Amino acid sequence: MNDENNNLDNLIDGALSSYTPSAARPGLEQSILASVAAASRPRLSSWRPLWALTAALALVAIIIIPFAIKSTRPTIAVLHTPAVAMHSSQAAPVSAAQHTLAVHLRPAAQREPLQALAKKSRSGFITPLSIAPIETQPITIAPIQIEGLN
Amino acid sequence: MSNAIFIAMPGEPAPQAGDSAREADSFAEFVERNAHFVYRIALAVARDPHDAEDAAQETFLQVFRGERWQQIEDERGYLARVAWRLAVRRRKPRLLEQELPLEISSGNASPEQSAIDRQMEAWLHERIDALPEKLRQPLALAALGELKLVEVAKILRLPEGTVRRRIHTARQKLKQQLMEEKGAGHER
Repeated sequence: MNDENNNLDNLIDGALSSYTPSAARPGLEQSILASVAAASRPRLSSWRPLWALTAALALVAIIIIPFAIKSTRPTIAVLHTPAVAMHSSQAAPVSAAQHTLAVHLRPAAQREPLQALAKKSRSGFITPLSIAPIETQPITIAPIQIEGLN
Repeated sequence: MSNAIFIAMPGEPAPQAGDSAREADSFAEFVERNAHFVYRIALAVARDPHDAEDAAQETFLQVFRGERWQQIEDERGYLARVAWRLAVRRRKPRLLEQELPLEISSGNASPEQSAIDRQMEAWLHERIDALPEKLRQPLALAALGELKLVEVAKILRLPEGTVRRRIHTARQKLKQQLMEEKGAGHER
């Protein structure tokens, strides 16, 4: 039994020793070095710098364009100071070059209440009237007579 | 170290003298020193010479790109670990081929007996290939004869005792299969 076991062990050892061949193909080192050299050489025709440049330009455009558009539009500055004060010499001058319109709000005490304003505006509406009899009558136009033509 | 290093091929002069050329020479020496060892590790795992060569190339490429290959303390252990990991990815599952009638060697060294021994080896190689990977890998790495058990354990990131136990189990399985085949051979 022990001999048989040893015999089987020897068979397995023999098979294991030849399981992985010890010799690689000749020139393995050269092919490894060649692949490393190929991978490490700088590629001049690489697309990477071009992509980076395009991305950078796009980013700059995205940031700058909204600001450029915004600066050409007139802006409305809402000033909460009384209108009287604004007309005085102490008020900050609003530059016309900045295309800024100043809207002066009256102080709350001087403002009309909202309900009164609503009534006022309603009374100002044009109310439609019924059609007058003269408007429904057909208009008769007399033929035009020009002297000298007939 | 820059990645844009020129690796001098045999017979090809380096383009410039200096640090870069010296590093290239030393990397070439590093490859010369370890290429066969890395290839054998990869072959033991992947079981295909082309896959093993690809894994060996990728191993050195990764080490080179890592830019710290000169600071590796245990270069064989490190390379074995990387090669093993890359070869495992390439390993294709193998199924047992058609059963061949097996004659057990009687120990005589005749040409007929040599043919039987070769057949036996091929039969056993198939059985090793068909073992579960967790048993086959420690067995194959230990069978290389270049690694100590503790090194195999480091590569596989397993305790040494587990590796020893797995190798023992793998051998027991192979023995059992041999016994069964031997019994079947007597019946035939």
